[in-house]
Amino acid sequence: MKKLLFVVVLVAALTLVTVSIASANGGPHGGYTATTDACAGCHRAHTASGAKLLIANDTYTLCMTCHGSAGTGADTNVADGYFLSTRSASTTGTANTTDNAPLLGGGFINYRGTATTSNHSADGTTAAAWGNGVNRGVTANLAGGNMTCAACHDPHGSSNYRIIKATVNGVAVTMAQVDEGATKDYDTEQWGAGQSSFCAACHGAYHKTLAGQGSTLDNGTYTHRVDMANAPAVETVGFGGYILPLAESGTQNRVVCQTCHLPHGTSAAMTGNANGGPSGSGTLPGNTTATDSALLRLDNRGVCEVCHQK
Amino acid sequence: MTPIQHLARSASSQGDAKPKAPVRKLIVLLALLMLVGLPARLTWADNGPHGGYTATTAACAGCHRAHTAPTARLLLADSPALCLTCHGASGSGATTNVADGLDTNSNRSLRGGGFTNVAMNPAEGLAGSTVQVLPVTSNHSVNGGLNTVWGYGAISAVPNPGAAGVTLTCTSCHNPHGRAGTGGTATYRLLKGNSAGNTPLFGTQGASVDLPDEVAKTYSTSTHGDYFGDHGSTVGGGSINAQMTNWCAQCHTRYHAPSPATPGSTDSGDAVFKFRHVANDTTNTGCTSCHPFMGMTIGYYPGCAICHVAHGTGVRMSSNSGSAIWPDGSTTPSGDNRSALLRIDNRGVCWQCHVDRDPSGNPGGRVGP
Repeated sequence: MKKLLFVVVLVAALTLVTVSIASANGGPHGGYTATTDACAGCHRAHTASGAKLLIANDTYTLCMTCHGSAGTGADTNVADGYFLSTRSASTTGTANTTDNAPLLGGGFINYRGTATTSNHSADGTTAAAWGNGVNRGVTANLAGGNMTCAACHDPHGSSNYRIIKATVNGVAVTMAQVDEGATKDYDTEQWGAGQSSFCAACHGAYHKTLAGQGSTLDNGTYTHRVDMANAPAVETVGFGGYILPLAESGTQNRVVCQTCHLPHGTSAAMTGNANGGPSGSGTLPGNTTATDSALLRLDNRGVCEVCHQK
Repeated sequence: MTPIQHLARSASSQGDAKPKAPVRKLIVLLALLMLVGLPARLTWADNGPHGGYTATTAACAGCHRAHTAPTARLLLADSPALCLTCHGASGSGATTNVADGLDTNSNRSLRGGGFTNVAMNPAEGLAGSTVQVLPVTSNHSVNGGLNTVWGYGAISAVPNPGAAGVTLTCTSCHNPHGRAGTGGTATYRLLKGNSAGNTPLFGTQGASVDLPDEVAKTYSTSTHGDYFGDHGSTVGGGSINAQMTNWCAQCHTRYHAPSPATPGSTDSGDAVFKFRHVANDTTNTGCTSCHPFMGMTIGYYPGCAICHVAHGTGVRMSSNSGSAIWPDGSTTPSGDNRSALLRIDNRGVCWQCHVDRDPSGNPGGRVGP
């Protein structure tokens, strides 16, 4: 009888049929069906010019085919950091995103019409991350090799916000999806829980959440707290009318990494103390220079004044 | 020997030693034999007028005239017209209607597809999809036109898409007289094997790969119109679909990618066929060549015929699939005619193995990323 049972199990294993589960991700990045056309958008089975059977030589070049300055495959121009609703046939995001609006994530080459002063260089040239398993102010190499777009995003879809990978730099990441249907909002914060956990996958030493963190010595230095509820519990209007986005609006109103930093790139200008820091040496981090604006959303230390208004 | 084959042979030995075993053991044996197939009989005779000739054969007159032949080789007509006399839409000399891709005996679709039409479920795997009679969108053109044999030749750092200007006929691949394998043995579907009696496949490229003939010929798909799930016959201990790869690679040389440590990410050094999907059947032609066994995939397997049909397909191509550039850089034909003999619309064949992921982001499919 055991043998018969074994055969039944064997046959069942050999004839296994896997059920497809639809993904909520857009375009070619998920939601595949049994007759999907998406694969051919990025892959060639026999004549690929790049590894992983890609039609481009590298990941960054492939992504920019659609998302670059001259791309026509997506409305999200991440090279220049703005949304152009008529650029592609896709209507994803057009209902909630203002045409020509700056992208919430910034741009890699330009942002708000100006060349970026710092970015998360996703072209395969960045090997290390600040605070990656080491103290703040120190870098260590990423687990998966040099950074590309696919270091953070899963081009085949994900259960995370903006198809952020389930595992980044070897660390499990969970980011709530809030607007991942066709009604994506690319220029206004629609953030759920877990925003900072994504950043912490590479910059773990910066992810400090305890009350009083700013006055608590932590591995030799002090650091601003994140993930706390903001007071007042609204997107704060600071000097000059600037607004910084908070996560989990209306409930937690958390200050997350992305509240102050743009994930892709910024064109913020650094002058005076912000350009060179107290020592004036410009040695990173902290003593930033005009060519490294630390992905900040506003010029100099505008992000501080939005909340602290000193 | 794969684990399955080993299991089958062990079970077979036990059965021989204990002829009075309970009936359920016999069922076990039969089930396993059905899974791995029966041993090939290499001397199986070729069919119809295509072999098995006797001293008083009448077969010659089916295709030849000694003194009044209208075409060369004393033929009644050129190929493919001659072949279609029996195997065409209105032919009555064979049950294999290769023009319409139908086995008129079983009234089911032919495993190889069709040259003009095909009975096919082009959306196999999609809920509600059905079999349709479709005009062929791509085929191995045997109508006398000039073709490019994509990927023919050795790895080349200089762009070389293949051999251009090649005219194909039915007899480019099939030997109508049978006995096409080593020592005059029969081969699967009369495909040219390692026999000096065969004419070249094209140009000076001769055939050298013997595909074992099947014991009982079954020309149709197991389910009418379903092409991807069709396993083909089991010959020589493995699926013919898996074994076919070596044969196809005689012409489409550079599509025959080995199984490197990083499949799909190992540069072949070729300027055109640079990174390639694994197409190596030699390590595993059993069930586990496609189906993971206890959660594990054993060996690299995808044979050409897993994704492509031999004769012609009717599947349709949307924007991405239909605009794929050809290996020589050309952009036409495009649209549906870029279907590349695939078994399912668009890139459904990819989905079948690299099936969609579950909401947690984990691979939910059978193999690969």
